[in-house]
Amino acid sequence: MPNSDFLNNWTVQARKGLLELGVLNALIAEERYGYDLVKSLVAWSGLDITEGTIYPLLSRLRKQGLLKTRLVESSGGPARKYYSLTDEGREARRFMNQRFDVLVAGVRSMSRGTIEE
Amino acid sequence: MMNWTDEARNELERFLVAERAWLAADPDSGDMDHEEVIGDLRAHIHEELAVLGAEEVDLHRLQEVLGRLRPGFGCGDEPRPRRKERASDSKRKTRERRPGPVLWFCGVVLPLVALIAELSMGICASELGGALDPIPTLYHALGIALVPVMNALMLSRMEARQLGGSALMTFAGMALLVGTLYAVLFIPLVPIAAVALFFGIGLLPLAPLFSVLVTAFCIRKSKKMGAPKGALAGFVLAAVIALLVEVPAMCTSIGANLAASEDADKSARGVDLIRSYGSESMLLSMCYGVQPASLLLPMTKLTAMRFLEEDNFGRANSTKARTTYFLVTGIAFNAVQVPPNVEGRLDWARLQGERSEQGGDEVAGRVEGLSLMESRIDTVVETGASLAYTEWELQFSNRSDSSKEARAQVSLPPGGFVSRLTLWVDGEEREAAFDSRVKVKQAYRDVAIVRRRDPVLVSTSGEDLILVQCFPVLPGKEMRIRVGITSPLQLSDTAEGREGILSLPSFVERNFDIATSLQHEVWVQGASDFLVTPEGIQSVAPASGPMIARGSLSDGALSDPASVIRVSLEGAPKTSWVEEDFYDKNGAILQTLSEELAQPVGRLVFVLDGGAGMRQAAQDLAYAFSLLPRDIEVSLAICGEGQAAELDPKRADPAHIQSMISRLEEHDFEGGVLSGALLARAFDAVQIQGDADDKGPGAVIWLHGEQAVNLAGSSAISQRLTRARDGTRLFAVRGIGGVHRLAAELGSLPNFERVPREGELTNDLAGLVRKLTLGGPQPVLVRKHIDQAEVPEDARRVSRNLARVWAGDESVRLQATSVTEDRDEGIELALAHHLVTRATGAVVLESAEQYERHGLEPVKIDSVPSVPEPETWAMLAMVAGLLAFAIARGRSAA
Repeated sequence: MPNSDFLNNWTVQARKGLLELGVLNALIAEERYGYDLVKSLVAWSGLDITEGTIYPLLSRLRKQGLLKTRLVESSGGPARKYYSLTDEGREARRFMNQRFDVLVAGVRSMSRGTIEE
Repeated sequence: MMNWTDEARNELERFLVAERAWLAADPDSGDMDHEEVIGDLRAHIHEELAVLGAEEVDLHRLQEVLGRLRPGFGCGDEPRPRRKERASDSKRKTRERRPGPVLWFCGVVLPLVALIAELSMGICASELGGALDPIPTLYHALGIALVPVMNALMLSRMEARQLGGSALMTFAGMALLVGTLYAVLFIPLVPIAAVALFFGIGLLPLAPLFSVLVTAFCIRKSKKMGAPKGALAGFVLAAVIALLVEVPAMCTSIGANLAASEDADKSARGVDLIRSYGSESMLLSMCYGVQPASLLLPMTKLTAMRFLEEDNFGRANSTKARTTYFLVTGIAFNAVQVPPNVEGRLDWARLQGERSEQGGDEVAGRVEGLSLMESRIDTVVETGASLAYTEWELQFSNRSDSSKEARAQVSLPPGGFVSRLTLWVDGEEREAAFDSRVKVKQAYRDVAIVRRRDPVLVSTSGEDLILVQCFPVLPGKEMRIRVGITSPLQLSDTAEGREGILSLPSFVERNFDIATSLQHEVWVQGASDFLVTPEGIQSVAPASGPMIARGSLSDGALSDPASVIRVSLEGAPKTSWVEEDFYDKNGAILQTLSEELAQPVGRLVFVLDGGAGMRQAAQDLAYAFSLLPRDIEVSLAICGEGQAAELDPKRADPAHIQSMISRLEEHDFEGGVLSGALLARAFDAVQIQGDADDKGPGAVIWLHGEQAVNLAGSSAISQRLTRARDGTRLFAVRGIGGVHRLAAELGSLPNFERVPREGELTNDLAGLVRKLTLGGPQPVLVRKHIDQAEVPEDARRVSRNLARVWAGDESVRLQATSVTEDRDEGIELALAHHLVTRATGAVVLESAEQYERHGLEPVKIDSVPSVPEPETWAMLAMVAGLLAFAIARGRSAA
């Protein structure tokens, strides 16, 4: 068994790189409000993230123009912020998924001794 | 609603501080909005607690949630913020907890207090002399109110850690624009306010600045918390609305200044600008010294001075504005009620203006709180003498809190004279003293304006026009006066026989209000039938006593030139007489009904005042054109027509008549017109033609509307009327009611004739055209002074009113001569008969001491004319019958 620190570090790096794509994919079908989105992302065991780390990411994606938000009044508390993809976000999601598929295929093909572009 | 324990609240703030530190430590921190993330976390925590159904949030419950957000929080592994960050976070923590009383005070309380203070007291509007009225309209008040309202909404949202929607942000952006405008406008007052702060009164001028800073802070804070866009759109939208609201005021202000220019083109541009884009209501306010309701007026002034080369922007004073108001609307400024933004405001400048107009020769502006309460007109028609005596009783009331002077210009029946004036003092009737105009005016000014006692003054203000002034109408009190008028009836021959036309007195101009519900109660009695009466007056034939016409007229109906009463003169004597001892104890005035042969004219120029309200009159004029014989030469001048028309008269063939009618139909009747210069051109046109041939004298028929301003261009026509010796005359016909200063001014000149209105304008114009073009005999009453021995046997003896009418005419004739002795004699004649003429007036003072001090003597009650009561009338008729019988018997015996 390799060094566990090495494996932990690799897992963190891999998840970190995939978190943005996870968020974009989570919003492909419909807009979702922040709490609901975070809960669904946290529930995906593969990512293994904490709730507090997602909001900075959402803010960054919004500032980059991939997400847009709107506020909807809520009777029971603060207004709910709904997130949805911008056109640019949809384009980025499509591109990222393609690259991800290529990467996965490439990494797997390594084990067979060939690289498929 | 969740209840937080203090421990939980502190823990949350500690968590958020730690989160900020995490975010600051994040290498990607520059790509995110920290405040947005903090806001999101806060919302997430609330949502989580709500999902958990937590009503009471204590430390334990909160830590449970925080643990899921940031595992390990509270175990000391969070990064320590740098010292600087710790300090700022500590401050931020305090700010985030509650917006703070300072923000509430500056953003909500202060602007609200300022708004209420300005609305209730108008401090800025009055103290800054009209230079800046911060709340000129209700729209401005609503705009200002938006600032504290939006500040309050946003501050309360921030307190509740809630974000507003885009609508809230849009309104916040609008409030920001309003606040910014007012803050800029009040910048000049900031230094004064800063000094006044020491005295505790300087905060209000700073309200716009402070409140807009709070608005800006709230918007910024909300955006950081993740509020949606909308503020910029609101700002732009408010800017557009502000511009639309301000355009009428700006155009009125610039237009009024242009209109006040000596340059005719510039003046016309100003009038057009106000008509197109300005506001008549704002112009009316300017007539009372209140500047247009423009927030941006200071900027407007700068713009006008820079781009329109207006070097004298302040010349549109209230006097000039009154002229401009007439030119724009076609009616006198005091013919309409004081605008709401002028009435009821604490405006010292206006009060001073009112006071300076007291005792003056002009009716001037409407006076706040002064109104006519009651009005009754009693007339007795003496068909035997073809004259009438009318008493008009007026009661004024003053609702304001200061003494007011009631002023009115009154139109008399044609050829009438004021022969009685009464004032009620403490319930008692006081009769007037008649004396020279100068003397009675001096007494009035001294007693009324200086000593502020109880006089009433009547003097003439033009042909058949008088000015009535009473002062003081005390606050909350009433004042009652009576004006007696002796006037001849106008004669008219109809298919049914000879008729006398009685016109009633009416207001031409006034400085008090008349409620639309007020009716002038009219009672006319006489021995003959009343053939035609205005709508609202019914003719009644009682079983005994005189014939009666009674009813009530609104003020509009009373002022209508067509409101006349026609009396049958069938059976009236051709001669009548009365004793007259001014020149000779055995003197008498003999009145004879005669006929005058009118010479037909060869040329006619019609001049029409083409201002507002004259469209119907133009249609009546078009009908009169159809009556013109072919061989006469005519032309038409329309005052206010764009291009100067050819005035030389041409043969009245159908094509020419049709072209004149077409011009009448195509003309736009708007605004006010000044007709003096055009009348002079028209007069020249008929005169020049008159020199060239011998078709008879020329005449100008002037169908006039209203001219409420002073006499621009009157000297040219005055000169022609005075100098003309060829029989050319100017006939003036009133098309509509209202004040006409030029017609009043020309009334006393030779070759000028006011055509009395006998009913509908169509008929009057047709009658005048027939009379001028066909000539022929016209009925006239000739009065002359003779010896009693020369009185014909069949002459009927009538009342002293006949002597008064004769004395009035004779006095006016004598006063118009250039011989001093004749003028003095004319004045003495008027005074002996207690008549108000151009050189004499009537004044009622309060006490015998006041009369004595001013060298005046009131008329004795037994020498004033009066309208007899019905019982008295019956008795007089009986006595007159007996007297006539006795005289007839005596003469036959002789």
